[in-house]
Amino acid sequence: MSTSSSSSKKIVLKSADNETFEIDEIVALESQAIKNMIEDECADNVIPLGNIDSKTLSKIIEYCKKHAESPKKDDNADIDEKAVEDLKSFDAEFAKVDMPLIQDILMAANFLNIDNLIGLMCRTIADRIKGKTPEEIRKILNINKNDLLSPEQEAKAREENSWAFD
Amino acid sequence: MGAYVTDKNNRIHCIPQPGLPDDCLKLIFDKLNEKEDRDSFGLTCHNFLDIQNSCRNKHLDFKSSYSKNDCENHHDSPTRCRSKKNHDSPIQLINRFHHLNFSLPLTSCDELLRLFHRFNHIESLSLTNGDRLFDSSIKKLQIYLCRLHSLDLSGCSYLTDKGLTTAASSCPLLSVIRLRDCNSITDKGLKFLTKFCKYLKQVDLSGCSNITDTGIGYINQNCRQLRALRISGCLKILGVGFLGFSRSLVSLEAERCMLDSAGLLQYYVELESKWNLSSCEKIGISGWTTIGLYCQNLETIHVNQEFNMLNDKLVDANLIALSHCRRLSVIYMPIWWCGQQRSPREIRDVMSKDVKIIEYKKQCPTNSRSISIKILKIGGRYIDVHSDTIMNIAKGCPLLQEWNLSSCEKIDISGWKSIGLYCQNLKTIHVNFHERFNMFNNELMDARLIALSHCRRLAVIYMPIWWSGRKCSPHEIRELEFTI
Repeated sequence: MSTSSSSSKKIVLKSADNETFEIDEIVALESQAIKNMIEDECADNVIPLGNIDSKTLSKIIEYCKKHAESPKKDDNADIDEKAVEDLKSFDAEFAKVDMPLIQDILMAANFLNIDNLIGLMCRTIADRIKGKTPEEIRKILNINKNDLLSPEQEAKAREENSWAFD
Repeated sequence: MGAYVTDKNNRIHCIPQPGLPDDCLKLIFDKLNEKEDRDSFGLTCHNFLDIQNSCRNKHLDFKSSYSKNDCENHHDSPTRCRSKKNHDSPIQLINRFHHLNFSLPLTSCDELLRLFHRFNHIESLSLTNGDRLFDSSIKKLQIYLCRLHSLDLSGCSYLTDKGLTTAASSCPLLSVIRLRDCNSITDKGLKFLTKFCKYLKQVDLSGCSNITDTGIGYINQNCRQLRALRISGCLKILGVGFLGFSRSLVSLEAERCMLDSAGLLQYYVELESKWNLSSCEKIGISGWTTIGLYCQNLETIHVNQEFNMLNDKLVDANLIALSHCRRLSVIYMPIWWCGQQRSPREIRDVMSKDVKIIEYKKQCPTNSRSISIKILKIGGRYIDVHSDTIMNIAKGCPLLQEWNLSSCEKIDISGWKSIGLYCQNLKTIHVNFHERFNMFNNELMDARLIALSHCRRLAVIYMPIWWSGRKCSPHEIRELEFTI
């Protein structure tokens, strides 16, 4: 009901580096977390997001805008093919950013609880580490060096893996 | 990159990237379909290895090469039987949940332990036919069993009451246990099993020859949520233990049991929905009458008997007794019972009694010539069925919806035509044949198919793969939908 009565209502998001973004409420509602805050009326007009920087936040807003505009699946069963295709190509284009930003977006999306975006980012990461060696994956995901397996542990894990076959 | 915190003086600090949260990593891992990618992912670091382990080890299945039990398990669908495994790999470890398949020569309990160390979230474990599994092994594995919901120890013939008690005491959440052919288990083991695992819903004791009615009594006493029980081949169970059995029980399989009328009289559970009493020779007319009287919710019954060949009248009397079960809609019965040496009229007379009751309940216009049987399975052992029988059944059971005729090699084209002619309600038919017999007989097969195509509602045909194609004209095929 808040969506219908206040389509022009604005929400302001504030990033960690104190930049503010004014967006339509309907765009903010793409985030389950913000939606819950608004529904529970525990959100001021300005929502501070202390763990998301402005670069990430602007990307997320870009995504939410696009997805808020396009018709939802449950609105009407026969949404036109074109809108779906359009959204798909938008997603593909959206994911063409460097890995650190993808990880930031994923973590922010996880915090804001935007399911579609989490799925898109996880898919993107999975696609990028497919066919790579553990060493390459470490580089791609910038894994903490303290957490690496010792050579013995790695050999043991490899041996156990060799039992398993699909 | 990194996260930011604002301190008291409104200055912004960048803190080091803590890495992606585990739930995101799990989502990423789920999207890796290739085993190589999953393995590489796991080898990246400790955290990723943990993710890999926790994602894949919900169900473990240790199986020996011998799979007779499997076949029996799926006796409803003989085609789904797992083929016999190669004897070269003595033990197979199958991870069913993620369709991973492990194979290793399992020589000692220590190797099992090593595996458990890696697969420590197991909810379902199968250690079937483990001739190296002793009570002491169970004791060592004990700490890894605490999350188990399902445990299969079928065929572990060295497992005794002691081992079973140890296992039971460590998995309080257990809801499914299979102890098929565990010959060393006695009532005492069942006593402790049921005391520790109060939430058991499915118990399979098939072939546990030492279990008596006392054991059934323990199950009854302690496991009031039990839904399914198998006691096929437990020759010492006479039925007394079923007195006052929990009404949650909806499925009882008691093939080849010594249940007699006196035992059954004790057991008039009203909530039954499925009952397998195949080859229970000792159930007399009074037993069947009891079932007819008290099991008003029974939906399915198996009454395959092999040794009553010459006693058709008794069978008819039994059937009439059963016809009091108003909801009964599926009867698994031997082929000689519904046909062969009798006229279709006789069958119809026997069956129509059943129908009147059902239709009365549903208040449909009564048609005394129709028979309420909806699913009929012929096949497996009864491969000698001839066209006459088929015709009798086809005429007699116009409401038939599913018919399994797998391996009935001797039905000729007139039999198929009678199915096409009379079974207008047929939706599913099984016609799997052994390839070797009909390899070169595609034309005959096509003729059968055309005969069947008169069944207007037929939507699913289970057929051998070599049939669907080759010389069939596409027109005929298109009329039917194939499921192989």
